[in-house]
Amino acid sequence: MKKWLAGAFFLIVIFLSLAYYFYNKPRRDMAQEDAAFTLSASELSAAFFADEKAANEKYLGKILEVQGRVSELIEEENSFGLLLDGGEDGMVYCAFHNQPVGISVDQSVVVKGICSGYLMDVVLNDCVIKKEDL
Amino acid sequence: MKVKCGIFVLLMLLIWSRPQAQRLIDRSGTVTFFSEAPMENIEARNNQVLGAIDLEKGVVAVSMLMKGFRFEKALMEEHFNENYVESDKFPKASFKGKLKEPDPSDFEKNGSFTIAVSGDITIHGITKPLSAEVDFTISDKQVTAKTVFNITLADFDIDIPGAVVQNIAEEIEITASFQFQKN
Repeated sequence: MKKWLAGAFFLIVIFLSLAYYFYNKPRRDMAQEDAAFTLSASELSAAFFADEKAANEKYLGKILEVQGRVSELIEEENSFGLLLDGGEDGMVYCAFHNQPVGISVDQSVVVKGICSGYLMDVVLNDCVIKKEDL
Repeated sequence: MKVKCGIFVLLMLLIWSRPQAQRLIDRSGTVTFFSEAPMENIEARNNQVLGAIDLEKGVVAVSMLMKGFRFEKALMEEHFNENYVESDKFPKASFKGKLKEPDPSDFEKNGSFTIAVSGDITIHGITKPLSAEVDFTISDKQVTAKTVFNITLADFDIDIPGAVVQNIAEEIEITASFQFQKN
């Protein structure tokens, strides 16, 4: 009787721990996970400008490492980040959780983030700076 | 598809025509939605919402990426994307509408006023008519716009499985706000 009870208790603890873990599942860590693609801001912009559907199929929801020149810093009330110059096909909007420190316009950087899709620019979310001053 | 083309054309016109004082764009608009339910409240926020407004024509267009919504809980965000709005299939939500009887002089001087806007909203691939009140504030450097409205999830075929019904409200409150820098 006692053994059964101990077994059941043990299972319940496991179940609750799993439930707790999933409920508080950690976010994907940009610093740890590998990028699915590494490319330039112009290549990324060109892909979405030419064929949004195909570009979504390839890049949507994936972690990208994008290299480009900073054309604008975004310092709004709730939105932090920068725009990478993608040439005539548009820009890449890199959204960060906090204002990226020590980055200035015209600097060449590599940003790592998740591709959310395409509006006026290609949008990357949860961004981190991978490399600066190339 | 038609609405998507229409919005794209509208945005193209707004973006690629010669810069006019009356056409304003904000690529960092905010949309939050709030769902009140017995078990727990659900809140998410998108800070990369694209808003475009043509003050002369009184036309408004808004577009946002579903994958841009951030929830406090990563698991909720996953369910939202994979099960409820199916963001791989329908990456965007959008609105296109007209301001009701806009008075251009209102936009030319500093102050606040409210105007009704009506048009179509598209979520999860489904388009429905939507009307809302928008609060505008005009200052020297910018035009801000804010609106709050409700939507019914069932209207957009957003299916909440029975087991989770306790957690998610059928009516969702949506708040959208933009800051347009004057040209």
